Amino acid sequence: MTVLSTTIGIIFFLLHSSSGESGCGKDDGFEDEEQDDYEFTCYSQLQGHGQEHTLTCYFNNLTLHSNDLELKLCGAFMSEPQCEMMIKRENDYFMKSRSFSLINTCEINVILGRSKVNYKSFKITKIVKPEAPFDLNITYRKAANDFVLTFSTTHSWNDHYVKELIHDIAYHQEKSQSDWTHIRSSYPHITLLERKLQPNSTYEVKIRSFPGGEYFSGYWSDWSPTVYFRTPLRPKAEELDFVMLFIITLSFSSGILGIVVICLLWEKRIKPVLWPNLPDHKTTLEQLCRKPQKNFSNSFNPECFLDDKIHKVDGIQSKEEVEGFLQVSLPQDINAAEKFGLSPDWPSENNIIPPVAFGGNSPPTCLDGNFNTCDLSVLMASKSPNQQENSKNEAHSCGGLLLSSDSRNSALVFPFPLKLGVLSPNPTAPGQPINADLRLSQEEAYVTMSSFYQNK
Amino acid sequence: MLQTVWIKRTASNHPVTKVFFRSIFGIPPLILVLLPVTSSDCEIEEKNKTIIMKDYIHLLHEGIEILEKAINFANCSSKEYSSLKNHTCDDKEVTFIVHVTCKLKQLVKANNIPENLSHSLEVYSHHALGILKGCKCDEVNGTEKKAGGPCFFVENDPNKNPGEKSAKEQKKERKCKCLIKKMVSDVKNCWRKFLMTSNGD
Repeated sequence: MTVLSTTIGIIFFLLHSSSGESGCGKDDGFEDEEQDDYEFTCYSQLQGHGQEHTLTCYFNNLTLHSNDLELKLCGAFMSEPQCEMMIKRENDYFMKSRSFSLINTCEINVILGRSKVNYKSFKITKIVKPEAPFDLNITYRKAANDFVLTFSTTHSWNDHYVKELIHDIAYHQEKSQSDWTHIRSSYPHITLLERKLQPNSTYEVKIRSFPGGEYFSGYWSDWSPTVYFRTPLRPKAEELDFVMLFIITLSFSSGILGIVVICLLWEKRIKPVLWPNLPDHKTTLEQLCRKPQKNFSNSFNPECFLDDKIHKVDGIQSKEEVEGFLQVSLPQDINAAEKFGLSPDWPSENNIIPPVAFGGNSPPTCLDGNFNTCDLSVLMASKSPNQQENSKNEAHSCGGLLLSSDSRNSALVFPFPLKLGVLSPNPTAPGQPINADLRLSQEEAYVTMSSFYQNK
Repeated sequence: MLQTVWIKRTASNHPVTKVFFRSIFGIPPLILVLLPVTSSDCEIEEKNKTIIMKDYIHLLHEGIEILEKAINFANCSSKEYSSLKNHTCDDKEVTFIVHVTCKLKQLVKANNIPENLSHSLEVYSHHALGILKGCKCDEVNGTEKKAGGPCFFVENDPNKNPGEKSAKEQKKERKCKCLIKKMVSDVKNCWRKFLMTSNGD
């Protein structure tokens, strides 16, 4: 019985004490409301290695600064874990040291009297507020029609922890109510195009920085001091536009005109000069085989050459006389020989005219029987007597040119500027040597084959 | 008589009893004394090496460069130091880095080196050990003099002017700087090797 009563008494005692503790829930809610009032923000400003870093905190509700609130900083230093009270200034709480730990997680406690009313934990590398840029300078480049902005920052020094920054350049017209135009840059210089600004106006510009990269983070820095610059008038641009437009129009119309002219004169004038037709022997042969022109005389009638000095050539038997000429061997065909007016008795020796390469230039053609200025080149196809016995020679006379259809031994080379004496139609004097006069007059009254050459 | 003798033998001369007490009270202290006075081995997981790389680039790299420039001492011999004997960066880079860093941390308290050098050593050792989480230096009391070698505590003589230094003190100071220079150079090379190995994995 006694044991039972003691047990019950203990149970009731425990229940009472536990209910008493649960009553503190109301008090907890009250404390939460108080913590909202003590919200504060902290930022750090890091310097170079070996220099003092700063930590600054301020309450979001600025009226709280007058109260007896203290901020206690713990775990922020490299040495043994210790706590320091932050220095209270007019509007914030401040701490400066070069022994800050950039690895540790710090804790700041808001202390009112003896109780802690709020706290916050953070890493110093995550609440970095860069220093404001300075030495802002603006230069106008006339050639490029733009403004170059350059500025300096302490974070560009070699030993600084925070080297990567993002810069925000803000500008607008000085006395306008328009919003600021913002440009982001990772480098301490930027270019503003003149055409994007109003001419003959004053602009103001300011810059601030933000920690870049992946390691450091935090807040925007303060704005740099504002700098003013004036944009020039812009008449030159308009003149330049007119000149450019005129040049472009002129070039375009010249181009079209040139194309039209080329198309019109291509076939007749331009192509023959740029791409002249090479002489085609087949084409030329066809030309020659056509009927001769009316004003072109190809007759061997001596009456045509009355004005010219003609030297009779009775035969090409004498070697001396032949030396003055290219040696010619006549075919054994009598018909062909008669056409040429040659004696049928020819030397057995076949003197073959070596093929001579002909030039591209055609000598002046014969006009209206005036053969004094003409040269006649006669090609004698040389044939071996054996071949002539076997083959049938088909001779074609085309304007005084003996052509043989026998292709085996035909030396068809024409036109060539050879000068041969015209053989006289005197069959009665076989074997008579050719007069020496023939040699002298070989330059007279020649009609070259090239006169029959026609470029098609 | 016989009973008395038997009791005595049981209590004090029995071999099992002797072994029992010796094993409890004798050997553990011996083990503790024989433990090497070095840092505890710590292992770095592969997944943490990327984070360590970032921490090194942003916090340590510049500091080591500045530390080397601060100890730009030309007249150092290339002898081996007893502090670095039996320790190389070949096998386990982290173990060597922690060992040398702990040595440098001890030298922060040496008072025959300039203050800015001491501060740079403190910054480096604190951040290096913070980056290598889980690796700690063993706290050894009373052996700081031996651990530092030439970097020992110079007791301030009240009769002596603070600006004057004896030739012996100057020599010790130079040796201390050379020791620090050697250790900084070795630990820098080992950091690079460790990080390059982590990159290649």
